[in-house]
Amino acid sequence: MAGGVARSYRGLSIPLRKPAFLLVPALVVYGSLFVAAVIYFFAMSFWSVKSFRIVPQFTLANYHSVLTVNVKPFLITLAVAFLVGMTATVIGFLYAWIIRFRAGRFGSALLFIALLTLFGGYLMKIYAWKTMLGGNGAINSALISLGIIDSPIESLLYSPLAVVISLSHFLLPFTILSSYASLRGIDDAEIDSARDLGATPWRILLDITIPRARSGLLAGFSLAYLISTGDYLTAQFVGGKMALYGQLIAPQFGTFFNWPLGAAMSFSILATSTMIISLVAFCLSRIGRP
Amino acid sequence: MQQSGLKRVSTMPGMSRRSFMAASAAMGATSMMPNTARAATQVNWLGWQGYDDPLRTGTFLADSGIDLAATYLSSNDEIVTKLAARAPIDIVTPYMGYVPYMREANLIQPINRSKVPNLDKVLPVFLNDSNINADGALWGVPLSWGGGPMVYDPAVVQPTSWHDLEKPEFKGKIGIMDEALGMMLTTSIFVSGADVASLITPKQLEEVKKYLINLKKVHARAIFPSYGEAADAMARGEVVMTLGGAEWLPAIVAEKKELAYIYPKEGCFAFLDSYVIPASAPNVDLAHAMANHILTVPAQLTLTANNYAVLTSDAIEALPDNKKTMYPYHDIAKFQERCTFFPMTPTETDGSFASWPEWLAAWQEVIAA
Amino acid sequence: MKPMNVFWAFVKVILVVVLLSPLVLVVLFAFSDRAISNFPITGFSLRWWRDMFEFSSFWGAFKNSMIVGAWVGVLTAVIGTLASLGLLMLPQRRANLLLLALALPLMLPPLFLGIMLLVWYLFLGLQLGLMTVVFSHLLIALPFFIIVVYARLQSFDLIAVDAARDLGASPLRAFMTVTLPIIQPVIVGAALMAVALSLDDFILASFTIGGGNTLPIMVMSTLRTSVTPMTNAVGTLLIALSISFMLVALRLTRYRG
Repeated sequence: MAGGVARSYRGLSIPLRKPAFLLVPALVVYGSLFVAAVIYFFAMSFWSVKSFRIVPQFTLANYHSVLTVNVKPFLITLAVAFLVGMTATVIGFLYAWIIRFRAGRFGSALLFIALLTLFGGYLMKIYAWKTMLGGNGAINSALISLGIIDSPIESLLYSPLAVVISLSHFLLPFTILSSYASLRGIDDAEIDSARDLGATPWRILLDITIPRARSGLLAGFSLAYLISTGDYLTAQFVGGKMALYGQLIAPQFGTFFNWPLGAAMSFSILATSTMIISLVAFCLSRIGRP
Repeated sequence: MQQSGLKRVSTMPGMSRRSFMAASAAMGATSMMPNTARAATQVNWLGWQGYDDPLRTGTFLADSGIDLAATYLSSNDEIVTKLAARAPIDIVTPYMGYVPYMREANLIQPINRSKVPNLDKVLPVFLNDSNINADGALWGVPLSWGGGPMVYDPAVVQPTSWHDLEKPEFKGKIGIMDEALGMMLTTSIFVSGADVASLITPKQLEEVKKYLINLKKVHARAIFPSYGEAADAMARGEVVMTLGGAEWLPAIVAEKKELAYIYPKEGCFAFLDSYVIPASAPNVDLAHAMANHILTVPAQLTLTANNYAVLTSDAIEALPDNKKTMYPYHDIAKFQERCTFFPMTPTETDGSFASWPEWLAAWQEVIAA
Repeated sequence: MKPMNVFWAFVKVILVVVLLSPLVLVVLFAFSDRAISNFPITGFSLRWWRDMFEFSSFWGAFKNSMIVGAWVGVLTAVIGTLASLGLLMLPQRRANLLLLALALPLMLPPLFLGIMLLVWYLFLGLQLGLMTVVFSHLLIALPFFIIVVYARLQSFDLIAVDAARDLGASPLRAFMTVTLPIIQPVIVGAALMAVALSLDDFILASFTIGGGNTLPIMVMSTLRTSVTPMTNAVGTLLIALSISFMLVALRLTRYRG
């Protein structure tokens, strides 16, 4: 489907000939709200605060601070985000793969369920996990009644594990839908002929399926990763003593009253995340290349 | 009165409160754009849940033409963030300790005492607090008060000292709140060795920080974002003692589990909560009227529904017996033997004492550790 | 093949349980008569719902959520439809690139977006209120809407439109009488999804609202203060609302993934 598309929609020319006019409102919203805000915020990351006033004078002090203070939570957050991204992407891919190749009639139902869980709100899900992971929660109770364990696993809640579980679960609908979107485009014929030629299921997966699903996988992973690096609520409720970087950024805009530092911290972790995601994208592109 | 100059305080107050109020009229209806043709004015209120109940007594809101839009806080940071962003809020209920800080940042305005005649009924002990009085003006209208006790599970432990938190048999069952001032101040009381816990040297601050980091790593179960969360955890048996809390925390989960509080022998801080008017308030006169109304007897008495303390002379007289014993009303001096109203840590110092930003930086290290 | 089928069936069940259990539990405990959201459930009760409807800030929050949702739905539908149509007229590559750019706000952690917008609104001197929340939600609802509508529109067959044109109708008439009715369900559907997104959002709303609450903000404050299942009731309400919007939306857009 190349550029010829525009012409066959002659009926849409309407009184306006140029697509630009139609896009103007959206671009105005986007430009004035988002782009401008990002630029301003970025500029602010080079300023400083004195006596509760923001001083718009260029300084690298904030970035220096990012590199020297709170480095440990910075790195831990990157690691946790990676773990969450991986977990959500792998499970999401598995689910999407099942819908595409193994579900038959139930495919739409499964897809529907995934879509359903997209909504309902971020907060309620954290709250639900807090209830489920506790000493008397659903999971421990179930395990005990099944006889698998004798006493509740305390570290299910108020731990990094709880954070990973909650965040991954929240991101699952995104990774599922994203993976599915690209898996849809895989032709059954291609898979069948590969099988006829004697390829094992693993080979098919590595050489055909995954490379085709690459964009969906990457999109899902990126979203999962980025959302995790900016999370500040999950860890507060279920993380116990763990603090993610977002929890150190948020107070900068509150009682710590240091917006420029908060801005610098935000951009720093965003930039680092982007680099890591690019790295993952690169590794992903290596799969399936003979 | 007694302690060297009765110093006052700040703090913690309210991390989270829960309203037991049953039906109240659907006063919450808000309109997006104030319509000049209407009689009612939308007034924005930002504070802890339950602190708006005093406003809903009698016909005050209707009589004053107020359409109350209350937003409940989930953290103190929110007040500073929103006021710094010049959100159109008419009343906030901050930690007392943040009043000097917000005053310096020009986020709030002084109270016009002539518009709040009920101030005369507030016990002097609270009205003259050093944190809300500065530059010859009053910066907050007192609403309620309390201490920063230890909350514990009486079925499991009977603590007497803050150091009981370190008992090895309770490792992993201690609760810490995610609140810089309350935690650091309380710890300072029994760790720093200073005369005034809020005025400590950088070296003493270092000790406080180290203690907290150790407490967190070795003894704590979690750092709770709010009292509600902490109470919940205690009700589930995950936590048996907390570093700081409130007298009404046990009441939150009274239906599920019996909890108790105590002012440990080393002492606690005491706090005062008040109605403060932001500099950017659009309805200053109405804000004053609201602040005046909360000092009437019925308004003060609504506080007792959540087991908060009242502070006007006539409200104290009107208290039912069971509520009278909850707080040491008739012997505030005795309360102050254990709980001290500390002055707020200064935002800038000459180095002899640690400044508030240094306290915050230390707290960040505790969180990040 | 039998054992394999059983295996996959098992995996499917596990995945579905994992996906759904948190939400199911939230709804379940909203009807339990115990004061704590936990097993065992000793009885059925509607008291938390009564508590919620009588909660002083509930109706205000509900109304605000509806107002914001309505604005977001309408604005997104208008601006988004125009944009989708515009994208259709562009070469595929450029359209995709533009789409990617527009989707950037979706990729940012909501915390950063919320703070950035707050700071920016302050700089612009905007009065914080429900409209600022609407603007903030627009940033994440628009790309969502456009992606869905653009994808659907690409598969539409507009021969009927060409026919109308050939018969002498002006472009505007052709659009109004033929195109619009055809694409209308897609637009309404995608707009409903946008409304659902707006309903669920907590972070952006909490940063950019002036006074007052929306339902998620109220949920947050009860999470902080109350440990009763009234929170579950509010959550269930939110879940029910956003899911029903989404269900209607799915029917209208005939979503296939």
